[in-house]
Amino acid sequence: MLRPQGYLVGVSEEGVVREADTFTCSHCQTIVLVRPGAAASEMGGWCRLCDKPVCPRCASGPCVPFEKKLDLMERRR
Amino acid sequence: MAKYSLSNDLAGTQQAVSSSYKTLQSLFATSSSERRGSVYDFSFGTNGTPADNYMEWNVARMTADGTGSVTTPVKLDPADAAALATAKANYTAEGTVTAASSLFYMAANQRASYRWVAAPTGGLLYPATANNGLVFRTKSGAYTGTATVKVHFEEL
Repeated sequence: MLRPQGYLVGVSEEGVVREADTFTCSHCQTIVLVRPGAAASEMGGWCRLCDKPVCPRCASGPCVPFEKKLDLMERRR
Repeated sequence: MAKYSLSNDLAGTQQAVSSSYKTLQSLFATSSSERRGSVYDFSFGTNGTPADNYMEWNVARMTADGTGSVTTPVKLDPADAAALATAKANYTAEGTVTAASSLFYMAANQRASYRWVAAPTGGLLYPATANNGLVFRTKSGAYTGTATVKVHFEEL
C-alpha cells in the first residue's frame, strides 16, 4: 500500500514472520488488513466525502467521520 | 504529546483465558479529567505452556467499566506528566463492551504473537468521555493459560 496507516507483524507458531499493511476505517476506526493484489471493494471502499478509506461495514453507510462521532460522544457527557 | 506504555503484568493477577472474552487491559478517560487519547501500538501473546490451540484476539470499545486492577501508565519520557487516563488490567468482571464495535479481531495459534503499529495519525482514538475507552481482550475454546498484551498510547 502506498501510504498505509498501520503495520501488522506476527510470528506464527512455526516461527514464520508475517507482515501486512493496514488502514484504519475513517468512519469507525476498524483496522483492516490490506491483502496485496486484492480488489479495493473486498477490503471496504473509499469514502468520496471524507476522501479516506473505509471498512466493508461502513462502505455502504453514510459519511460520519470518526472524529465527528467523538465530538458527539463528548458533547453528551 | 506525552506517550505511555501499559501491559497486563503491571498490576493484578493474570486471569486464565476461557471461552468467553477476558479483558487483559483497558484504557479509558478518567471522570473529571477527561482527555482524548490514541493507541498507536499494541501486541498480543501468551505466556502459558506452548500448545496448538486457537486464540481470538480483539480490541473493542467499552462504555462502562468492569472490575480490574488499576495500572499506572508508564511514561516513555520520564519528564512527561502522569497520564490522565485510567488503565486497568486483568479483569475479573467484564465491562460493558459496545456490540459490533470490534476494531481489531484476529484468530491465531496460541504459539503466535502479533503486533500492530499505527502510522502517524493512524492511531485508535478514544473520546474524552468518562469510562469510554478501549479494551484489549482474548478468548479461546481450549487454551486455559494466561495471555499478555502491551499497549502504547498518547494523550491528545
